[in-house]
Amino acid sequence: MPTFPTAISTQQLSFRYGGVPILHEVDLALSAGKIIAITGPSGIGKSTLLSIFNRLWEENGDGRLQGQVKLRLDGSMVDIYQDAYPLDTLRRKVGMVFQTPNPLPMSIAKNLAFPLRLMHIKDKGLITTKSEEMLRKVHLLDEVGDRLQANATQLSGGQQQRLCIARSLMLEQEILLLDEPTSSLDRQGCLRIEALLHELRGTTTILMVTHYQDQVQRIADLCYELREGRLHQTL
Amino acid sequence: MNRATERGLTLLCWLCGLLPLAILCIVICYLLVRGGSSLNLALIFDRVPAMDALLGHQQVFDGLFPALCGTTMLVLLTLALALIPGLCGGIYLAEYASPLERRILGLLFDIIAGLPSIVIGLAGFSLSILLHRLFPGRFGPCMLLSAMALAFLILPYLVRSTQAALNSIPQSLRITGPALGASKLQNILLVLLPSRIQDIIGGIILAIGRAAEDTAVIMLTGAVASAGMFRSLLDQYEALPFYIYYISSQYTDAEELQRGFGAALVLFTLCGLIFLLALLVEQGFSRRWKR
Repeated sequence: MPTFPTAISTQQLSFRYGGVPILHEVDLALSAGKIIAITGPSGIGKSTLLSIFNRLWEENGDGRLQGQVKLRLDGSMVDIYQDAYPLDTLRRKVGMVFQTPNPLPMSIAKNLAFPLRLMHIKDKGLITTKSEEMLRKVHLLDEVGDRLQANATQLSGGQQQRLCIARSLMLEQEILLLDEPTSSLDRQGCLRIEALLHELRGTTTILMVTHYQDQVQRIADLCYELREGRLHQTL
Repeated sequence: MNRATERGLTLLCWLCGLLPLAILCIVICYLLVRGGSSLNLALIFDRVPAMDALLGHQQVFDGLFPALCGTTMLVLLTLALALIPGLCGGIYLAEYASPLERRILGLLFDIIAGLPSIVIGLAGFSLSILLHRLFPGRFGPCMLLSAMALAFLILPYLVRSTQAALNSIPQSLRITGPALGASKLQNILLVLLPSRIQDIIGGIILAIGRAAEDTAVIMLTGAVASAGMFRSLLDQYEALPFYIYYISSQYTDAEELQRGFGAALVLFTLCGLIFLLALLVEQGFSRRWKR
């Protein structure tokens, strides 16, 4: 059985958001390549917890973080709040998919090319090859391959969510944060995404917020419940 | 709420929506009835051949051509002066300003928006006197000064409409770019502004309308009844709103009044063409972004 190095670690991590305590002195060490589920009641701060690992909470301000958060990026552990690690680079390496699919109101092809465009990559051949590869990975190529110029907002909810995952994967992230990615999908769409996560296991560390215990049983390697500001391991 | 009240309210809203449209139709019909018969090339070019006037071979003294050119140039110059500061101001207020800055600057822009245009005209007039004293014989009331005063007049419209457009973006779209590694500026330029281009162009159209119709500012800062074609931005100039105002207050016979109504129709058409151009730009931009 291969051993995986630590991908995510926190020390004495406390976080308050809008004056409300979310986390209290949390120590965590999560192995790379695993699927880690986070559960807990609604409104307890699970989504906020995810946004700590790509510093996306800073977009809304009004949060206060104490303690240490280290991620394995490019082979070494980086303190993302202390080491002056560039924010845009961090977010390219730590992808995030939201509860509600959020394709940009542009074509499917442009949605997929968007993360590369942000990095000033203009090689059309590379973008096309990579887009097709990621669409194949999320089992979407057969469904939309012949209409890549169609507006992404015209796709079904499940297709949109898979597109968002494919868009995120364009950057070959080392860590993927998923905030209830299947909550707005039917069973078929849900199973497709779970199959995709199975394929990503081993190469990508996946931290996923979910409400479904059966989903946890099916795909998670570890599960933590967020309760009273602390993470309690339940699997 | 019972069904009858709901139907009554729906009808009221429908009528309220219809009212401005009805007023617009009445105004257009009235202008067409009163000035439609004066609409011909002679109204614009007098007796000068149109091509000679357009190529600048002959001056038009008794037609609307100099006023038409004056108004077009004035609107374009005003937009050139106000557009970038207006958009940047709106972006700053929506995306960068602290809550305190937002409150103070927002109040300031609201005060400017509420200033009567005659006050801004007076300020422009005072500036022209100052410049005339500092540079005798070189500066006075002119098109550049009018455009500067009009730019100041429309600036709050541009700032506030841009700010409102950006503020209306849903959070889910707002964080899509940053979650993929977009810097703040990349997010603004590649996601936020394109997604609200329709609202922003709407604000620009309103500002164009305001600049094109204002008379109080230009009559104090450079517009005159008879100046012929302007030769530089430091010249006095003719403008359609001022021509309409002048004719309506000084007309000597029915034919002259009819020409005033004709000028109103020309101004109306000019504004419509500028709006159409703005809409085409918006549609072209949206199509490019969405595909």
